[in-house]
Amino acid sequence: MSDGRLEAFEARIARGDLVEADDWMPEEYRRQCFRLIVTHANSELMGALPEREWIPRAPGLKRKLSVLSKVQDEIGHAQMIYRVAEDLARPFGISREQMLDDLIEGKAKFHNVFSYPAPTWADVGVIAWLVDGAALETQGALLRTSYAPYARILRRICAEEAIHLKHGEDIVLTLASGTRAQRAMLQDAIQRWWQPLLHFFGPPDELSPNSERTFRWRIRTRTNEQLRQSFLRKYAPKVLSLGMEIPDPELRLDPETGDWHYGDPDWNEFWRVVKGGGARTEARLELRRMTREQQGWVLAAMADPTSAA
Amino acid sequence: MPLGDELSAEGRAALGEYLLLMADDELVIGHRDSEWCAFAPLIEEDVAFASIAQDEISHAALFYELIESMRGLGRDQLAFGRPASEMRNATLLERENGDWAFTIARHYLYDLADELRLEQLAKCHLPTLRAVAERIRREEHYHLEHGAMWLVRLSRGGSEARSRVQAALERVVRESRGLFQPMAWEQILVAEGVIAARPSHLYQEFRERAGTALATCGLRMPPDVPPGEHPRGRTGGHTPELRELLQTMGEVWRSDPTASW
Amino acid sequence: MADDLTVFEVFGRERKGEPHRHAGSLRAADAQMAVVLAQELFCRRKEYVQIWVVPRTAIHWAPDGDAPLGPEPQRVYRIGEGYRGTVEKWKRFGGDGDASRG
Repeated sequence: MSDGRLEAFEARIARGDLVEADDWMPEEYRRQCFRLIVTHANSELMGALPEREWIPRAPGLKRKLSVLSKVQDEIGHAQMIYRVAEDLARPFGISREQMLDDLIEGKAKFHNVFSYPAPTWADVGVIAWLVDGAALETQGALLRTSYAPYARILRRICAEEAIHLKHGEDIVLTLASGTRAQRAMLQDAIQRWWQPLLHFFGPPDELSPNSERTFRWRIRTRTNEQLRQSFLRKYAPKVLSLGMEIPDPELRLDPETGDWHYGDPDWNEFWRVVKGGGARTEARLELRRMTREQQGWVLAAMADPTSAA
Repeated sequence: MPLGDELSAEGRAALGEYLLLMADDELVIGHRDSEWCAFAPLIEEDVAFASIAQDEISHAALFYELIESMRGLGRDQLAFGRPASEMRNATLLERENGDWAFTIARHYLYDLADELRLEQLAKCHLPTLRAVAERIRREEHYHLEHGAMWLVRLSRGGSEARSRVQAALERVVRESRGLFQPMAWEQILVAEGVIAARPSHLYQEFRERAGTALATCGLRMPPDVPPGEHPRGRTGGHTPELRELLQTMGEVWRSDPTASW
Repeated sequence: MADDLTVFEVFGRERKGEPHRHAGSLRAADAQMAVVLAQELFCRRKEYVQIWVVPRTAIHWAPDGDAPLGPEPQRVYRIGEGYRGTVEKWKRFGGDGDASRG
């Protein structure tokens, strides 16, 4: 590449300029953005499933409505993010259908947390409060990404995630101030979700040329460890103040740095889940597969030539 | 003034029955609609249909609150605490979702029936009830627009879509008379001036409007069923599908009805 | 199949009297469907008082280049700043020279 376009592109990024869908961009920039964005879209779509199981069971009309609205938002996020991914991937010849096919065939990644079961109502609260809290950390940092179409939709996504957090917090606070059985249910859910939450941010970034470039191009702006610490600072004290236990004997605040020291989570478990070995991965992908099979005729009806009206 | 205070005791009881019937209709169809969330034919539709489900459940909540103000039973108690035998919803609405064609056919025809009774209620002389009916009608307008869009789309979507939607209409229309099941207390509401005519008498107008709408899509309006051959959900003639729905819906709430959730 | 769906850009008016702004995009079979879906995709919290949908293929644009913002030095007559001299000129007629009062 000697026509100077790469240098000009890098200079633009360096002075804080943003990249639009129709701008020239290095193929590697496009590829890295696409990978990040399609993983996010897949995660929103798959992330709707654990809580979705609780829409029919939510206790009370208020909860039924709020959990339905929350799941609706997550799918709405998937819609917006897939749209950004579709435009980005057009030069690669990848359509939304291809992305969804890759997802259900187990070829595409999505966040580890959405592979775990949500066996009780308390899981719904913990997911909406802590998993969405974790997601808000990473998505909040991405508001400053250099790819403008992604940054724009993230503004709306983050605003909605902040509402989800309130919804989750409200469920958690209600259970924490409830009966003994309700508190025990909450403690169990925290027990289940704590390690997946630490995993959520990914292992500490290696200093590879690849990751160096991701930061230089401002595709990402904060490291996994920075995000994890930001999460721990906000949420660990809150969980403890509810009188709940955090299942990590090594967890303590370093008063000098303000960082939280935590016991090394089992990263083998993380890699096993990310590679498709999570407890509910296969069953949830099967649900998506079934949906695609059963609804195929509707998509066909929308594209039928006789439908041109 | 609390709702219904200007009515006789008999009139209040009849009004309570009517509100409960509408609330149960909205709750049960809202629950069924919500089951589509994440499984609709396209992601864009997941979002649209989840809004419709929320509207229906919110309307149920509004009606239950009106009953709460009259009878003192909490809205969650009314929604989650009654057995199938006490549910007043029409049988059509408790049916499992089936395919998208059945869902759309039921969605459109139920919302048409709902529009007819809301039109009537919006002219009611009880200000609280009139305000609630007007508020609900504004949202139901979108439902009809959404349902009509899909009916047109499926009717013009090639032979498979067309035959599926026609088959679905046969099923839905056969049970739609149950939405207008005559109830003993209807006459009291008319006598006390709450509504101008018995809700069950709206059936003919329903068939006419539905027939016109279907004709514009080139779809056939299935023949009427003789009175008495329709399922009578409103007086407890429910199917195992409703019992299963209620079982699921109340699972957590009933584990401790006195707890705060 | 679904690859044949049309991409529509969605524009929303936040308040009466304001211009429409880009809200996002969606895929639909036709404009009628796009309007129905856009209302709940982008307006379920009443973010807009009105929504437009436009097929993406109907949008054309001029190259934006990397030009610095603001007018060229010889084009200041296009902006108010090009007429700063009026303040001085008013003083000759006893005006207080407050350009903002016109």
